[in-house]
Amino acid sequence: MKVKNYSKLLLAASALLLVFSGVEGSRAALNVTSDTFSTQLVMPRVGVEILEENEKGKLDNADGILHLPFDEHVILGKTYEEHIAAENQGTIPEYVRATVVVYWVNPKGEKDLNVDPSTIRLTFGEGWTVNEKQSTPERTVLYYHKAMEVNDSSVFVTGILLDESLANKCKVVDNSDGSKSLVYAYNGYNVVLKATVDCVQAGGAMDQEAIEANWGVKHDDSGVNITLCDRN
Amino acid sequence: MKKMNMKWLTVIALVISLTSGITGAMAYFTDTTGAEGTQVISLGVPWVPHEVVDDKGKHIAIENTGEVPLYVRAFIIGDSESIDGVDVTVTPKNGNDWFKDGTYWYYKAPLEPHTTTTELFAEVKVTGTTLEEFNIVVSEEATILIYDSTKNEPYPNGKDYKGWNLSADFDTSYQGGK
Repeated sequence: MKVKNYSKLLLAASALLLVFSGVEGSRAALNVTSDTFSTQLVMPRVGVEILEENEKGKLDNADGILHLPFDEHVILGKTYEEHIAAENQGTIPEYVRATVVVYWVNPKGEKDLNVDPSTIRLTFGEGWTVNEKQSTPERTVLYYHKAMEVNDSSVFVTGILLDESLANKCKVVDNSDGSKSLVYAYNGYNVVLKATVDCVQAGGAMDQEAIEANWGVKHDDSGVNITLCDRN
Repeated sequence: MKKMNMKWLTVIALVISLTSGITGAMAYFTDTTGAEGTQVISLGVPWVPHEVVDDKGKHIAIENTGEVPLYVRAFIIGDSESIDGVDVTVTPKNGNDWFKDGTYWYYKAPLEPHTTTTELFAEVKVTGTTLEEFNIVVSEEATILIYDSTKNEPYPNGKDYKGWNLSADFDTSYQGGK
């Protein structure tokens, strides 16, 4: 009997709470009278873009296309400068993550899983932390260490080289004139470089939750230093 | 039965009441963008030997006809030996360009595309009394230039240069990488 009364009481209290939570605005409207007020509501916008350094040494919007810094006559083992950056083109600060993928495509146009993607080696910019747990020989995941301010940019790839060991796979062939030639196995292969950047709004009290909810990592693992960019 | 329904109604009502105000906190603004690039690579060693013979010996040079720098070397049979009354002496025309390491003469600098080495001269001196015919046999070789990635500069040419000691096998699976 007591349980029944207690349940009834709770049910009544919940129903009242639910009903009155919805009518608060109506009550306020009845009690307050004011002049017509109009204003423009500007919504905050997050936006991140990939930039690449052009021939004049200036960072430009990549517009979906990256230009590798060597032509087909590449020198193995040599580091070529390749500057790829992320820029905050939104209207509020944001946390930024970059994902870089490299692999080989054979002359038939097929992705070749037999060629070690770590033979395409990249160097990375300052201020970015590689998350080893999320990275593989093919994919590198980097986090910018603090919230990126509006119109700020940061270079996350600084260079690219093709490992010298690629020259090891070759053979000697006899020419018709009696001479011999070296033929390399990876002649005619394609280097593929893909970059993706994504961002999460920063500046609220929920920064840590935002990173965890969107990127699936604890902020401590991501390399983002929350205390540095705490804006409260 | 009626008691059970009342309990469930109570629980559901409480859950709705308590959670109705927290949905807004779960949304965040996000954005993403991507870019991609690709480049074919050409690995090859196109080169041409140049040999000119006169009454004193053979003048040797190597031309890089490709588009990437090469390392080159030459081996002269009978170099620094006396055979059948003939002495063969090899000297670079420009003293510092070629150097001998083991049995080969190595061109010190990377041979840039569309350039030719300075001359390596194999001089013949007859020390015997009779000589009808003598062949100066030269073997020239070239390999691609490889950088030492730790220094970002070319490995020096010489007998220990990696390019002269490549394992030549197409059929085994690739074992390279870091």
